[in-house]
Amino acid sequence: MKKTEQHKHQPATHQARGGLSRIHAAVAGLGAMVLQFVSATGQISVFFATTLGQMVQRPFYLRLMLRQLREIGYNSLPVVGLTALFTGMVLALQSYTGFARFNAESAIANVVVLSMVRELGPVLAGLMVAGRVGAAMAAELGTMRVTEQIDALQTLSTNPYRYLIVPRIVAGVLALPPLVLVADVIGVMGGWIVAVYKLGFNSGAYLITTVNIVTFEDVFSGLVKAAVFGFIITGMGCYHGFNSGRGAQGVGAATTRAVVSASILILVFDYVLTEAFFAK
Amino acid sequence: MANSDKGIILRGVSKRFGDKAVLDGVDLDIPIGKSTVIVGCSGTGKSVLIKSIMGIFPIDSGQIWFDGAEITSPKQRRSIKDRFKFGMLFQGAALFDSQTVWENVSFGLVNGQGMKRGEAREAAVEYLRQVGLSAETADLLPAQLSGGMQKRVGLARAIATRPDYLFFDEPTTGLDPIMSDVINDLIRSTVTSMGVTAVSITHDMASVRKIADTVAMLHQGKIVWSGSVKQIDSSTNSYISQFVNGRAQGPINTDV
Ligand SMILES: Nc1ncnc2c1ncn2[C@@H]1O[C@H](COP(=O)(O)OP(=O)(O)O)[C@@H](O)[C@H]1O
Ligand SMILES: [Mg+2]
Repeated sequence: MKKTEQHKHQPATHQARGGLSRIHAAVAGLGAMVLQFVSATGQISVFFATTLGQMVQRPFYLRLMLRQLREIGYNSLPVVGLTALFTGMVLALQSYTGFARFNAESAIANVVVLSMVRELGPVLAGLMVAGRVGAAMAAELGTMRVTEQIDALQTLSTNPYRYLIVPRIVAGVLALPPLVLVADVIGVMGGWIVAVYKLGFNSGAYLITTVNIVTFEDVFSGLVKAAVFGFIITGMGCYHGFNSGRGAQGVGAATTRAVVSASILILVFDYVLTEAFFAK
Repeated sequence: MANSDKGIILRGVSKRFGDKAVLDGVDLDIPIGKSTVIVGCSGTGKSVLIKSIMGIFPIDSGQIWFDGAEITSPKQRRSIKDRFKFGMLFQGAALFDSQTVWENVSFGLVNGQGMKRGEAREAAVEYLRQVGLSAETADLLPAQLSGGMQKRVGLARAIATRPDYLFFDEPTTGLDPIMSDVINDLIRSTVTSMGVTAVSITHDMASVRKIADTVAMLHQGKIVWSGSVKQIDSSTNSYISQFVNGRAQGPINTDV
């Protein structure tokens, strides 16, 4: 205790050594970060390898999977629907002010449907679900960890990965594509509302342009993204909850980590998948 | 197999979390058909010890045997998993809070042994009756129960799979003295009527006197004393006598 205090009070006389030790500290810090990253990556890999191994073993808890499907998919509809509606509306408004006024009708329909279906539908739905479901999942599993419910599962001859993790991740992968499809449709409707009722465009022409412009690949790429995001959201929620620290603080930290890591991974994989689909 | 092989034997069991050695060479014999109680101060690793025996944590070094079969590694444990059945009552009961009382009690029967739900409910009501709870509690959620009732449900869940070994982690902590006595009686009668081997953790001396046949004391990662419950008051071992008499002075350093 005393030693460190002395050290603090005489930095000026040891400037050269201070600089060196700062470099030392920086290198050591960097090393520690790399080690931490490697060990975290290893731990996550083991977690998903175990989950995958349990996925192919019986019993498969269908009831639990269906309950998660309702929670992740159906119960997210209001939030995702509202997000998509206003996004579609604002897209129409923004592209109207941004585009040359001639031929605005087809330009707006174009921008709205392609941005929605390819990008904003999956990404916004993913981020909203990460906040809603990923956080709740981490909190639930974290609480189960802290209150020894996960240990209790093991004493009742039930594999916690198979019982808790597999149904959630499978439900996430299955729930997000239909959810995003709904978001796409609502987003396009939002754009249509603004185009017809605010900007005074022809309703039929707008919808025909929309249908003509969008291709199967546009929609399909968005749904693939959705499935990947579903995996990321539930995977991060489960991983951080399952490995939650002790006490209420541990659960809180796990919840934050689940949402932040899922959100970042969604944006990273959005880029990766876009490049895979469209950069030819 | 010689009779002395029966029961659980631990030799040099060690377990660390990070750089903290929680168990540091535990040697312990748990005789079959008896009630063994592990005592020790809070945070000495009693829960870690029984979770290591149950295989919830892998241990770092040492060996564990069950009735002469080594089960130190997860692989060895899996190879004998059908020969021994465990039940555990957790410190906070650890009931599944999204499931009703009867679903909790029959959880091991339904998910572990594939019993049908209708049948399982009946079985659950019968186990609830055994721990002194009425059939009306069956459809409640754990959050609607008092602490003492949660412990009873936890006990019913632990015995429902008809285990050979029952583990109790601080079964009376947080309960009033009367409810503690009720739980102690339940443990004692369950152990005698089912003929199971019981391993309990407690730091409540009233519990020790009521439920123990043999007592082992854990301190700083090692067993520092073990013997029959009759010997705890007359023992000259300074650790156990300090603990039994609840004195601040002695070899157990209380200032942290
Ligand atoms: N999962 C864990 N991760 C890290 N440390 C743990 C874990 N479980 C227990 N410990 C540590 O082990 C020590 C003993 O804990 P425990 O066995 O719960 O004590 P008690 O004797 O009160 O039951 C404590 O210091 C605790 O911090
Ligand atoms: Mg404990």
